[in-house]
Amino acid sequence: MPTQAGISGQQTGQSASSIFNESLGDFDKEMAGERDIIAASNQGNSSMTAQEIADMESIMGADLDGPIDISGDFGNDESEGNNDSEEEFTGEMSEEEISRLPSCVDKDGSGEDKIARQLRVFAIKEDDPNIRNEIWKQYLKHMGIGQSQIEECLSK
Amino acid sequence: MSIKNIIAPTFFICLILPLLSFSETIKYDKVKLKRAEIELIEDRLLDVGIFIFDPNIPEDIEDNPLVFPEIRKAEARYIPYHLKNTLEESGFWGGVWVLPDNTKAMDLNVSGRIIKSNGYDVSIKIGVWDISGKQWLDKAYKARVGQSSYSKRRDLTQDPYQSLFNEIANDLQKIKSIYLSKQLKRISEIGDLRFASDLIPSVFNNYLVQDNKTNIYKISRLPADDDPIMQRIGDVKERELLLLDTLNEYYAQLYREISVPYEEWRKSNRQNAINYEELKRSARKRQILGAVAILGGIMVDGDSNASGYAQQGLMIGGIQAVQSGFAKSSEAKIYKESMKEGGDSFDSEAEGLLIEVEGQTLRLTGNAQEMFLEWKRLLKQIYTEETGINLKEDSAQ
Repeated sequence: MPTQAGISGQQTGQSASSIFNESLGDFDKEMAGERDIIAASNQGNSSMTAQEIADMESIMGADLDGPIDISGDFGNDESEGNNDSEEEFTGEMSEEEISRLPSCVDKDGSGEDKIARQLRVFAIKEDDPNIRNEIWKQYLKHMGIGQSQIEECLSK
Repeated sequence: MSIKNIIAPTFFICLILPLLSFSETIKYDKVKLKRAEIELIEDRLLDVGIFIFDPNIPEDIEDNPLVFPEIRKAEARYIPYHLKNTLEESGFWGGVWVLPDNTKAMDLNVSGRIIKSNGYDVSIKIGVWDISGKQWLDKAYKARVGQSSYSKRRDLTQDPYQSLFNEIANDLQKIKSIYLSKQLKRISEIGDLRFASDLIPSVFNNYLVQDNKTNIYKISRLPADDDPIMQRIGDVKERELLLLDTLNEYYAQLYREISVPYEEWRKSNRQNAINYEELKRSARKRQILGAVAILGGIMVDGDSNASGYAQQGLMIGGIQAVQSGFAKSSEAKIYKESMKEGGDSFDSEAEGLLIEVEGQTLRLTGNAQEMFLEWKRLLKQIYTEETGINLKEDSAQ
């Protein structure tokens, strides 16, 4: 993460001050990406706080004294047709979607966790190739792929 | 009737009476959070960092079957996060973050150690220092949690241990209220200089002096308001806070995921803990009573029928009491086993969640550490470029 601006800056003879400023921007982007990942995993996460469960119960008119099913996927009921990332991956991918997969990413999503699956959904849905590339970068980083391999994979 | 015949029952009654008359009135703690009535001016807002608590897992875990390591580790993250929420809710503080590691970016640092937490009794040791090194607080907090604290009809933003959190927050506010605004501002300035000194020690070490006896930092001089290097250091500090914001998102995730099962565990463990303690106490009481009755029976002397009956009665009663004491003791073990079972189950659930959040934290802090090292190097280079002064290698305050 950190040395991208530094390395390229030193190679192009930039001043320390501009490398510094650039690296702050890189860091901000990095953190923004990180927060996107968290937001994505929060969206895909069915866990709720006690307050949220209580709100949901009162909306549904449930008896407040009844047992709380903490394992239940509130608001995420596939039977009601709500799309969620896992469902999208178990379904068939269109040709266009397949074309958006980098060569090093498995089509079947093996070894992915919740966060990775969400990132994959975001990347596939993203129409802007630059943003898509950034999301794939985050995905590959999250999957533990090294920086050089990421660049190699995405440049193909 | 001999004197022994009088002393024996008297002795027996004297021993039994305090045990029989023993009854406990339990008082559950209800401490309200003090909230700021108006928005505080910036100088009065200190940034607070709460370190992940010391889970205080005993080394001889085999001898402490009711301490569950993974639950403790989860609590060591959950409790600071809820304390952060409580401090934020009070409105008396600036930013509040949970910290994985030491940082000089905070004005006030809070550390904690979990002494006991079983859903019924909670005890936490809290230490608080400001960035100048002055200790604000060193206190053990205890609370006994009532059944109503687990009610689903309560305000669910309030944790069952809320009284304890409120007490800590109220104590901190009380201490802060003693300080004048300019004194609080001075703490923040010391914080800025300690942060700067961490990045470029050779430039900023001599802006601060540390008292040899108290180890408390004082400002010897201040940089100019428009000092360009200080402004860049401010930029780095902002990034440190941004990193902490992001890390706190991960802690928030853990907090959310764990809150319901953790509360369920505390609730059921509380009832088991009460039953267990009650039965243990009752067993102990019966065993003592039985032993005393047997002793009384042995001491009864005399040839009369009455003393014979008394002796027999005391002996039989004593044996029965001891036996029922053992029965209570076995019953208590059932609750102990139940606590162990419930704890083990939540323990493995917590373990999975902890691995995920710890993995993310390590990855993020590891990457950021490299970045901060690079900024340190760049800041020195910029300073040299802008002032023409070559900096020697040295260490931070």
